[in-house]
Amino acid sequence: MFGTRKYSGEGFSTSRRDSQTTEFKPHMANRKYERHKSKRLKQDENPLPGTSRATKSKLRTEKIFNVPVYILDNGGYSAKVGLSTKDTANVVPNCIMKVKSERKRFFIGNQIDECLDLSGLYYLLPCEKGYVTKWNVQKPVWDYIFNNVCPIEENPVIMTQPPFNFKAIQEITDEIFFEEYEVKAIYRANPTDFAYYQYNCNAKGDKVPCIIIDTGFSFTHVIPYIDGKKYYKAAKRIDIGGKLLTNYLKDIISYRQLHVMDETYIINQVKEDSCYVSLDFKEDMKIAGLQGESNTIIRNYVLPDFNNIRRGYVQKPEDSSVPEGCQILRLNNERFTVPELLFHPSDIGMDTMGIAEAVVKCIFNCPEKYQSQLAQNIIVMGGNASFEGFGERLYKEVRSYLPDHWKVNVYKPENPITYAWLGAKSMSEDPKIKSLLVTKEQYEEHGPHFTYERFSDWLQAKKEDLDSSPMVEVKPTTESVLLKANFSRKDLFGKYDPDLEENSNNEQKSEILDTGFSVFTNPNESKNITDDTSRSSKSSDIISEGASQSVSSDSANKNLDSEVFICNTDENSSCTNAYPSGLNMLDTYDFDIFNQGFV
Amino acid sequence: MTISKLTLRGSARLKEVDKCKIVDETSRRRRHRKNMEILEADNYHEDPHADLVMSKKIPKFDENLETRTRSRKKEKNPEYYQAKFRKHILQLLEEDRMEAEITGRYSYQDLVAEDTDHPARHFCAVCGFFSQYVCLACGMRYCSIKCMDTHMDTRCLKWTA
Ligand SMILES: [Zn+2]
Ligand SMILES: [Zn+2]
Repeated sequence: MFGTRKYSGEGFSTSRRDSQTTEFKPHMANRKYERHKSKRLKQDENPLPGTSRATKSKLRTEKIFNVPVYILDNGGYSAKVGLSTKDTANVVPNCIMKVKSERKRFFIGNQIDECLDLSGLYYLLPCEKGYVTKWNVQKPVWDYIFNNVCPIEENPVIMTQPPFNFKAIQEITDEIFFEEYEVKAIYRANPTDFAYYQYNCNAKGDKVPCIIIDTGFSFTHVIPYIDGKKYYKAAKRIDIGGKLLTNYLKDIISYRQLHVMDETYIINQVKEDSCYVSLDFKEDMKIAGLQGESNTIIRNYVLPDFNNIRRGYVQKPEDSSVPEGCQILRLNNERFTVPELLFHPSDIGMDTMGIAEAVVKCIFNCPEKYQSQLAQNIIVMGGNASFEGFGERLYKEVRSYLPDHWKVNVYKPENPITYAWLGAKSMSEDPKIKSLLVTKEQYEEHGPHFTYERFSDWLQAKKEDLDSSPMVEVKPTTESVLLKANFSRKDLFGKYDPDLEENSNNEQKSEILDTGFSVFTNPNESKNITDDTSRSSKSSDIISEGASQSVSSDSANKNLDSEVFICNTDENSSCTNAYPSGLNMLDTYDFDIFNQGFV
Repeated sequence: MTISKLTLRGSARLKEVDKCKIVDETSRRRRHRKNMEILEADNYHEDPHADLVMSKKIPKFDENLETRTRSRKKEKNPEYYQAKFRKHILQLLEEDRMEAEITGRYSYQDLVAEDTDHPARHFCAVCGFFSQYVCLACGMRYCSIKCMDTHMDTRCLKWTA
């Protein structure tokens, strides 16, 4: 549903050099906002004075906490960190590094910017398989971030954790944050939970079923959200991430032309600068096989010499001069066969399915009545989504698998790397965040088990309906439960839901959504949501099937995003549905502690 | 074993192939596993300064940040949490699996994507383009005589099997 602007081939992706940049472009976002400001004020029932977006969100946040919220998206390769009053996150390497040329010191996080010679860089990474296990690495990096990058004071903390983040890991995290850092309150959720919030907070309180693909350094998750919760039965993890892609590129370059096995850092940059996802793999293979000028894929990559050139770069095709003393990599099919692994893991002998296939399987593992809506709300995030062509390729493949009369939309945020951080920022401005946070007092009273249960929605994700089948069948680990597809009469937690049955036959899809604001019911009304959501995708990339539709600024203004959602929020209402986690919210907590603690 | 490319030319090479025993499935699978390990490694090379130890206090805090509310005495040695944690990732996965089995919930293991339905595509192990030929000895692929020569000289498993 997000946007029906037809994909024109332009503006989908930033240029290759830019595709990995993590810089925020505030002028893009703000300009649009400014344009609608006056009109929005007329409609806003409780307008606050001084309504630039920044001030307003700041006001709101401070009304909740008196201090900004500290937001940390703790990725396996980079941490995205910043206060909720900031427009964008700082991206800091979440690792400690050693270099050959410097035998006396470590480089923690972005201290690496001080290092002159990055050759032979050695990583100490905090994660294994995406989970923090090396605390003698993670702790110093956090210390560095919390002291030097973005100092923490009395702020409540919102941070990310991977799905199934294990109990022992959460316990240590709690100990560090509550006991050593003396943080007043914490909330943790998966990056996709925040992305889900961000995607939906533009849609006026309606929670659209969607599939979020988070493809990062350690792994790739494909997670469907239905009615505000993850639908675990259809969620999938592909064990391919940016680390594997870099290592693969390192391997084939080392075998074919230049030994670079020790240069993970540099080859990672080569990957970021030169690789792309092919839209037509066979055709690109053909082109890469051509000689001379008809080969439009081949490029020279000038490697850094750490004297004149600190970061390597792709040479323009017409430029064949070699800077003195520099080494050149010749990149041909390497440019697209590497990211291709995301879509065809079998290319390196892995049995697992690729991302597009997983998305399609995921859709069909979900209850039938949600399927076509899920196909219309596919969101990609994480570092690998920054590859040029990633969104288009996913769209193209998913499109080819699904029935013709279904709409397919793939939404790629302007910056897929900081999208989760952005979602957490939006959530921090929602009064409901209060009921999600666990305070230091609660932690001290109830112990680490309390936080584990509050922050682990998978604990509620039961495989079978325990009431109707008292014998719990323990499955062998190798058998995937995802293959079983008779689920239409049950909701996520196995409860019988007659509505599901009745509505499953292409009923009006508006009924799926929670409240009012009918969507997709008839063509006229669906235009509203289209315009509304196209606003949310400001300066972002959408690939969409269907007629091209220009954005009317008037109607775009009409259903203004999170502002409206938040202003209309009843603080005391149950927020079970409003949040991605499947937790039971306890609204009765005494949160006076905030007002006392943060004055 | 070092065998120069020259000795493998023409009939000499064919003779070599005859002599080589065919690499069995187990070795091929071992090769695949070893390749995957390399692809999942944080680094390929050894720690260049393995003796370098983190000092107890993280160096170079800004002086003006010392006024923060955090009490110094609560700061733990970097090794404290690691010593307390002491868990291998496989142990964590197993604990998760057991907890999930008891309560009937989904676990990390359950999320792994199924095998693909699509047939594998075949690429030359040397140059990366599509390939039609399989090395009889080790099962890797090549696309041309030139790539076959390179393969025979380098990564062909017949030498290590
Ligand atoms: Zn070849
Ligand atoms: Zn061979």
